[in-house]
Amino acid sequence: MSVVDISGVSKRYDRVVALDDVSLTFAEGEFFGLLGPSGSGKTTLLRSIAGFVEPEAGAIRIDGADVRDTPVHRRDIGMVFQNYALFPHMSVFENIAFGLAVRGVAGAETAERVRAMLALVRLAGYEERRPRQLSGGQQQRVALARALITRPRVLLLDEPLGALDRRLRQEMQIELKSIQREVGITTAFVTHDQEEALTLSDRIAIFNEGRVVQVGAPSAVYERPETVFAAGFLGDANFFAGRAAGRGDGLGRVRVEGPGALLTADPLPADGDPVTLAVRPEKIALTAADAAPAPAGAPLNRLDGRVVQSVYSGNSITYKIAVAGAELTVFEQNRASRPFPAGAAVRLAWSPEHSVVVRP
Amino acid sequence: MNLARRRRLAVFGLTAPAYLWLVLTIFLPLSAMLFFSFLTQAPFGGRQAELTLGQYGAFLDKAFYRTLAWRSLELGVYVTLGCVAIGYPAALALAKHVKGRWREALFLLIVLPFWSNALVRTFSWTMVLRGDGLVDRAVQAVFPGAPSFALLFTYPAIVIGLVHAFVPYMILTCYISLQAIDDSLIEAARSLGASAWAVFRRIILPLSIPGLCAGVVLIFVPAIGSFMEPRILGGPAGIMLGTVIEDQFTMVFNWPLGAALSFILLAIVLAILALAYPLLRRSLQVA
Amino acid sequence: MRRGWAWAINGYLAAVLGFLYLPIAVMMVMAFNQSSLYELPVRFDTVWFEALARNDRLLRASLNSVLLALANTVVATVLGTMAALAFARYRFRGRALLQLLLFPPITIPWLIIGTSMLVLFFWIGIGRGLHAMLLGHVALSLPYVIVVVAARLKSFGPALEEAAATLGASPWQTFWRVSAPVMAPGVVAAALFAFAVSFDQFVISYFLAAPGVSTLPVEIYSAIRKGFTPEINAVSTIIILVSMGIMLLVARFYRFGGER
Repeated sequence: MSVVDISGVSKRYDRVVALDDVSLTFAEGEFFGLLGPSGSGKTTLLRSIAGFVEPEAGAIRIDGADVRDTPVHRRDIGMVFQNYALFPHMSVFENIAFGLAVRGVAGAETAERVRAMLALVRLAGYEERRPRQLSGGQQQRVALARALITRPRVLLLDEPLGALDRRLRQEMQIELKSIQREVGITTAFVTHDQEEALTLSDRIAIFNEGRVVQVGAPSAVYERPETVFAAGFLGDANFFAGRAAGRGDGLGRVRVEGPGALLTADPLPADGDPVTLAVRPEKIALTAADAAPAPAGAPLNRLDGRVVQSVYSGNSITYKIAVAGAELTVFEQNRASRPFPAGAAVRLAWSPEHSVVVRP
Repeated sequence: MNLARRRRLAVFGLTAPAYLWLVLTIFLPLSAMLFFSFLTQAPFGGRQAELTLGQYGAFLDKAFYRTLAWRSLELGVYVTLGCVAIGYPAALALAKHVKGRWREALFLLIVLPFWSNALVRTFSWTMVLRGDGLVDRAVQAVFPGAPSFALLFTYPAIVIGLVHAFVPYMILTCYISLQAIDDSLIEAARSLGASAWAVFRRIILPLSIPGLCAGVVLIFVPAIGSFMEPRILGGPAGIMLGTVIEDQFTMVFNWPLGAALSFILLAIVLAILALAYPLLRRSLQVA
Repeated sequence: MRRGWAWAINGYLAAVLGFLYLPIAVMMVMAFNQSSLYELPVRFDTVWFEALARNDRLLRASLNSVLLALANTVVATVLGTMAALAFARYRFRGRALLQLLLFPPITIPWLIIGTSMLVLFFWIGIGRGLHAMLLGHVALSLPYVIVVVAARLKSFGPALEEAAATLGASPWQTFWRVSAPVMAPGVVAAALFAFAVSFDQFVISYFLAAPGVSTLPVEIYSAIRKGFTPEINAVSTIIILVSMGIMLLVARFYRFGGER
């Protein structure tokens, strides 16, 4: 049985639809990412699980029990807020001990458990500090310790790393994941940063305009997006719009204006129906136009093009290539010592497996 | 839904006491007075009172009352203009010229007298303005033999007293507006070639209008209804709508007339507020 | 800005301050002046303060003022804080209307509020006196208390209380352990404010004073109207110093109090 079961949840605020028939489940010990642009409903869903938002339709069950009539303070949850919400008038110790204090846990046991928590988040010795004396990363760790000490059933994180700078974010991502693994708690977290979602999640749900667009493991969602939105939001994609044109050699053909016929390994609709293909920039290989042709092997999609722009990022180069009827983005690891300059004539090639059929 | 109902109950429970109190002490009394303004006489002591429009009629018939209303409005205008003339430059100086800790200290110093006892403040003006008071003696010291410069019991004395009472209001509201003007706006304007005067006229002044309006409304309204300052500082020259209303309740005991005059004053106040509302709407949020 | 400008501006501000404090300074000087007839040069004497100590009427009125202000502070702070909690922490329909209803007490001229209270209270038998004045003072204080406390609550946002709830604290526990300590500086500032509003209140007290029972400002007013007794200078000096002292405390608590 799943730990959290969300079924058919909907919520509106006046005219705005915040959640539209959302259904998800979180399994035991899972680190579940809720990803989407601002206003897509992911935070609303998180707050619905916590109990701050009352859905108008649908049900949320924790361990099988419907929590509709359970007030926030009786749901067995822990939450870390975007700005940490540490109690300014209490010390680090008192902040972390709060959950135990309101349950009437004895002093000796409280002290022991608080110290254990501080060790877990590597802040031993900070007991007497005040929140305003702590850095952002330290406050975040105190907030996490505070939420975990009561051993809740579910941990909810609302953009937990949003307020940190880039380097600190990356460090904290690793730490967060390792703490979650160590404690084994079912966790749901909200983020608009797709890289973070990919790094941390065991499974991701992509949100758009109140609806769940796709759910799955990071690699599954990334390699096989189901919609244009999913392909474009999680990573980058080149899109080709065309019409189905039959199959041959086990591969589907899509007639696209400009490039001609493109091959895909995915199933196609009936001939003549519109089809959209998505190709990730890093799946396209570039060779100089005047290089020797590659030996014949498995059929590939091939196009000729001209480099419009190349952006050098140290370990990688991003190209904008003009091909017949379109401009494509290609992403190459910096293996050659000289990237293609603007204006160079190049050949693009990618496998039909990497032409993904996506719904609009 | 259980949680939604609990929330509504909480809101009701939290706000009901305060608002019931306000109903009993503000809104019910106003309604009662409205009712009284339509009576021929106060219905106490076994006297019979009938409904009439006569009290309001008295306002329209007797030129005395109209002159009175006019005088009160006039007083309001003078006081407000005085407050603008003195207060706006002070607020501007405080917001844009003074820096650092001085700013807070000065702000506090300016607002402090405002929060002290109005009666006592007005009373202290009598000592400055009376014949033989500070002003008189100062004038005598500089020009010996000059006629007595007794300002007490004159119209200007009322204006001075009211300006003194209300100018901190103006400084406060203008300061809030002016201080919210980002310095980078001014810097951008100067970089585009605007002189100091142009910056003031085109940027600072327009952006400070809400504060100015708030101040004008906050000063004009109490000024036209004042009775304590006109009496103490103006004596016989201090007959205003406010003092006449006071008389109806404390000396003449013609409560219906007092009620009618009060509502006419209130109508004027509401008209002013209605005019100013669109300009002030944004600054009126509580939370 | 050129040097000359800076001096002119500072001079102007000094002049404005001078204008604001001039009458108060004069009154305080006169309070210590031996002469009852206002003669110069000033001879320092505390005779009027001593006379004040023997003036039963003024002393009784002072006591009334203080007691009334204390009662007003308690009632207005409790009622106002509750309402502020509703405004700052809940979304509800009718919110705009309730906010609007806070304006009549501060925008309607006190003359009208005072006289209308007199009319209603007399009519329904509440009558005049300290209890009537309390009703009026609280009404005047409520909007200020609500605004000050709501602002303090808003500066912290609901996140702290939400965090407490997720940690298992019931609404009651949340209030006492989190909301109250955090809101304390704002509540103290509002309470001091309410005290000052009541202590200095003249107009409402004037209309609702019963014969023999009045507050200090009302007594001062009738003394001024009847004839000048120099004790008035003395008591006025005390009042002004007390009021300004309270407002300094308000400023301290409102701006610099607490963790922020």
